[in-house]
Amino acid sequence: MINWSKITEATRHYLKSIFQPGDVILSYTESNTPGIMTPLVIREAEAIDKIILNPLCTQNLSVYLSEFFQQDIQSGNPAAGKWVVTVKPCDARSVIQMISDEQIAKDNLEMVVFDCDGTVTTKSLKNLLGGEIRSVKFEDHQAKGETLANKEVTADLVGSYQTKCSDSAICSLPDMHDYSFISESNRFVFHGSEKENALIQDTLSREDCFQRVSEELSKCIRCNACRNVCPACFCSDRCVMDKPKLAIPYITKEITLDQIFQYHLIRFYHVAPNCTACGECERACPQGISLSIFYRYLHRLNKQLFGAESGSSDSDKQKLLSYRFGEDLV
Amino acid sequence: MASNELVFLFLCRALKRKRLLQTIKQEFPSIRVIEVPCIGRFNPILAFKMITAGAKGVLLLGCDPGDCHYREGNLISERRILYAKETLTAFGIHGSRIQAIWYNPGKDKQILHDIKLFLSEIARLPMLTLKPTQKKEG
Repeated sequence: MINWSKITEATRHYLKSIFQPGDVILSYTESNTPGIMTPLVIREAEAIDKIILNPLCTQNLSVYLSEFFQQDIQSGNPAAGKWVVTVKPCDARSVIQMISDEQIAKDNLEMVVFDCDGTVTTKSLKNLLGGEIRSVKFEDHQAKGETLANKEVTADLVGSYQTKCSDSAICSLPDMHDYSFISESNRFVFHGSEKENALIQDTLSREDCFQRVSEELSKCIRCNACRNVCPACFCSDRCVMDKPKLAIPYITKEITLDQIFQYHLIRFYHVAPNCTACGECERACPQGISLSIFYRYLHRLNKQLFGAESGSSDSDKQKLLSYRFGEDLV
Repeated sequence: MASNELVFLFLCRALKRKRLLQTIKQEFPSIRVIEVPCIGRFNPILAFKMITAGAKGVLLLGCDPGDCHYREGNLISERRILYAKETLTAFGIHGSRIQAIWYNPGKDKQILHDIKLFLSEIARLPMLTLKPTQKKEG
């Protein structure tokens, strides 16, 4: 089990030791609203003390990284120092996958991975504590919080971690060859039961699965949040969803079930080779669609097809281009 | 097979042997043939659009590996079809709605047989019921 204050201290200490003027650090801090963490961009050594790490650090910072790199390239005068990013092990796989997809440069990047037991979203924390939060502290899988009604509540976090954290297949460490890894004590991976971790594509019949998927997707309002937050969706301004005015559009902006299906089919297909099952799409969804039914399927698929999950090594070739002459065709 | 069931066939232009095309059109009048410069041009999101719009299946007819006029077009397409099939499976739609046949010169009969197999396979599948729901206001 992880002592979060120790992890925070160790991370600050390490970052201070490597920081040089000109470097830019991406990390987490508490926002003005209690119970919500925000990304923090640090350009001065004094600001390192603002870093706070806890189970609420749900955001995947690799998305910001690619944005900053693109701005860096477009502006013409790249940053003087290097980029330092503090990530969880699941997000580390996203960063590694982005390096192998040539979205960010490895030379200019230092990745600091901090150990993590599991993350909990603000929404489920509010549900646990029973109301809006005034302040919250984390200790040994427990959240000690004070609600706005001045009620002190202690809640157990184990059952409320995000879906990706409860699946031990997804919550695994990447190849930590070139990166610094900050760990305080034994890592705890919460194993959900086999029944919970079974995919609906296996357990349900084809028709029932289709029914279930339609039920989930009928909630979709096409806000594009899952696309914008996804580290595997890196076409930015060239996305096919933003081009409904083609002569024969692939997709229109109507909120009808066939267009919603088309949207999610396209998105699934586009991220398929790069998806590392970071679960950001599910967290960002305002309608609470459990998109884990898709990303968990993808995670297993890539493992089956290519032997290793996406983002396990930064020297992997892009999967759609990894064909060989003479291999068996479908 | 009922003639109102939509089946699309993507045909590589290099394969556009007049006789083969004529035979396909004669034998299977319900199939709509779309010519592409190379089967590597085929984009699965076209197939998704066709299937969500009510098509029964999408069939690709490409050159044998190594025979591609553009060297790697069919290999690119092959990996795409692999992911496209899995995409449909993940959504609870039969992955066999998309299929590829790789053409061997001089084996026209085999191709017609393969197309027949494909048609009989997808004829058993149920129609997708993606009825457009009411538009939300605003």
